[in-house]
Amino acid sequence: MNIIEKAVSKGKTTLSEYESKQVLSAYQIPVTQEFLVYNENDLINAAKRIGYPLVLKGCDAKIAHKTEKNLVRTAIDSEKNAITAFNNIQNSMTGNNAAVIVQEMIEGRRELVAGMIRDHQFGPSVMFGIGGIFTEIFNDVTFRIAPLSRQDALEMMDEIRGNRILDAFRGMTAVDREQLSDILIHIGQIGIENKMICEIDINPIIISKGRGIVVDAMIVLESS
Amino acid sequence: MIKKTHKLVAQLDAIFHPESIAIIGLPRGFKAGKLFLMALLDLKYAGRIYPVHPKAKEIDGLKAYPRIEEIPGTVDLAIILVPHHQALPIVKACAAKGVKGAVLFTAGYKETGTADGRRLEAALTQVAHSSGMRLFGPNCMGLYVPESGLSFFPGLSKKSGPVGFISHSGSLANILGRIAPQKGIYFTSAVSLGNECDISSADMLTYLGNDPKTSVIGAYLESIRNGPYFLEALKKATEKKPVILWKVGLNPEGQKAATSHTGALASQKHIWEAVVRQGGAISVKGFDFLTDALMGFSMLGDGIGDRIAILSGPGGMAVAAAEACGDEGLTLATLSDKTRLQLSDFVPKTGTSLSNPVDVGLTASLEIDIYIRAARVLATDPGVDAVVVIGVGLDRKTNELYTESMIQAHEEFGKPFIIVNIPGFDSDLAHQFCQAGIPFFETTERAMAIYAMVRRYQSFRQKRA
Repeated sequence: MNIIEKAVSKGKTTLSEYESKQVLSAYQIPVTQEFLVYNENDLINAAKRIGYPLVLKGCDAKIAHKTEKNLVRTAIDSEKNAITAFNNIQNSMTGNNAAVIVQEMIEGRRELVAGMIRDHQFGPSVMFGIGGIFTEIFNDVTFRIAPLSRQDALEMMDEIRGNRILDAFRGMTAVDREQLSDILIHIGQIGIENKMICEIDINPIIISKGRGIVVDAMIVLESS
Repeated sequence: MIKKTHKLVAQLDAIFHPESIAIIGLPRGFKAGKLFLMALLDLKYAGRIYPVHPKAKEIDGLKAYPRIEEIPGTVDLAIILVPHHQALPIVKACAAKGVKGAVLFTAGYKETGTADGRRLEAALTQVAHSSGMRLFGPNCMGLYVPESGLSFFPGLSKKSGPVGFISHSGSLANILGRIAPQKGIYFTSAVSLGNECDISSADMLTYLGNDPKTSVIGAYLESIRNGPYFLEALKKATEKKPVILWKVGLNPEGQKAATSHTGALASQKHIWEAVVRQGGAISVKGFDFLTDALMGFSMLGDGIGDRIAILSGPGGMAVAAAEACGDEGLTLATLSDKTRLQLSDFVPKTGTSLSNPVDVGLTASLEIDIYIRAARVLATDPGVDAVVVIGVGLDRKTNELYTESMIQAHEEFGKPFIIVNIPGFDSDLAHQFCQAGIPFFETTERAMAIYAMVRRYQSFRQKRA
């Protein structure tokens, strides 16, 4: 893919959130609607197209932990607040022309994680589990070697300890498991078809109206 | 792919049933290499054996040849015992002679971690690929095929059975082979693969998966050479028969530093679990668990049900067995009124229980007939799929009667019987159970775990079919 080749040729070892989601999107994985903006004018146009509430994030492939670096603003509900947030984020980043992602805000209380690593013996392997900021603490994840069959993907959802999070619960609808399994199958496909990608992190996938949508993602490239 | 499989199976079949064997570098005196000849003689190998030795005219009454080229007639299998730095020309000579397969016993190759070792091993692989002669090892014990009289160590059983075993450790294969008969485990073949310069665990899965005489496959694995091929071979094998895998080297340490969360979370254990699940294999940990699983799968056939009747003298063990049954997702059979009525005829009134788990109390150790009659009543109940018996008599004589009668009941009723040890039970009688095809377990937890494992594999196969 173009994005990947370009990044590799520039010696980059990771794709930014925006680029990563473009790769996922090319494989029919649903991602948040978003635009990359550099100035207030573009910001206002983007906000109009997406509609409020919004999320703004500083976008730089070198920055791995955006929240910790104070580069994320959520629940922005007006143009005025959007402009303030935009300027705050840009000021915290190096260079005046830093890129900021304007993103639709996904409402949902259930956060899942998915990913891919290239195992040295078995090749691309897909991960699925409980997402959010406590992913590593819960360590409730399971893997499959790509390519994944539909059955593989569905079994992964049963395998995690917290599998009941996918059922109807406290007014939340049951998760569309077929749609989630599509995501997992396609992640495996990305691994198989793009040898330069060595790791993919998708965290969180937020469940909104029963369907998963990628809210944040990072793709790690082979450092040749 | 199918053609490739056919070719591999035919090649290995010929090597596993050789009409003639050359032992190259067979020592004259009593050195480690002599064990390979002793092993063949011990199993009464019926084909021709050709010792190859630079000077000896004869070794242990067998005519020796200075070089493989000088052996008259064909050689199917070569066992190569020469030091690693002498191996390459000999392997080439074997290939030129038309040898079908060679076992390379000597170490000193890739496992040393040296460039020389790696180079030498690559050269061997090259000979195998260009000639079509298949290589086992280096750094391996080779083949144990009782029906052919092939063995890698003296003292292994001459009797064949349903288990095909693959091992990355020669000594472990040997130890398993030695204790297996006690557990009623017998082999079609057991293979020690060493460094896998040519024949790999995936090749062996393919071969054993296609071997009609093998109905259970077990493996002890240290590393997997070609992951995708291994997974493919595993999937194919488990479609036909259970594959029990004990994989070592799954420690969380040694995890390379990862950039992503996914990388940080992806332990070797996670990846191996993925392989096991996708491949439809059964994962075990440790030697005891491995042997119990091989025993269970050898003896518990297809179509076993999940309704378990437990018969115990010690009350605590009855309760523990019922708990283990539930933990493993098995069901405590509901006994029929008729069964309970029949039990009440001879089971003492106090200190006992006539509902499942059936607790026959302490008296049963003195009157062993209570165990025997109760087991027969339980086996008759149509609502019972398997009978677990936890019992022991007061002395040797009663234990003998207990053993004989349970074996007889098992034969009569055709339902699985599972016997659980009570410390103090005679170990030779335990072996008698296993010889009769009745699995004997050290603990009730282990018994239920293995039974449930066999059940899970059954339902896996039904789902795939």
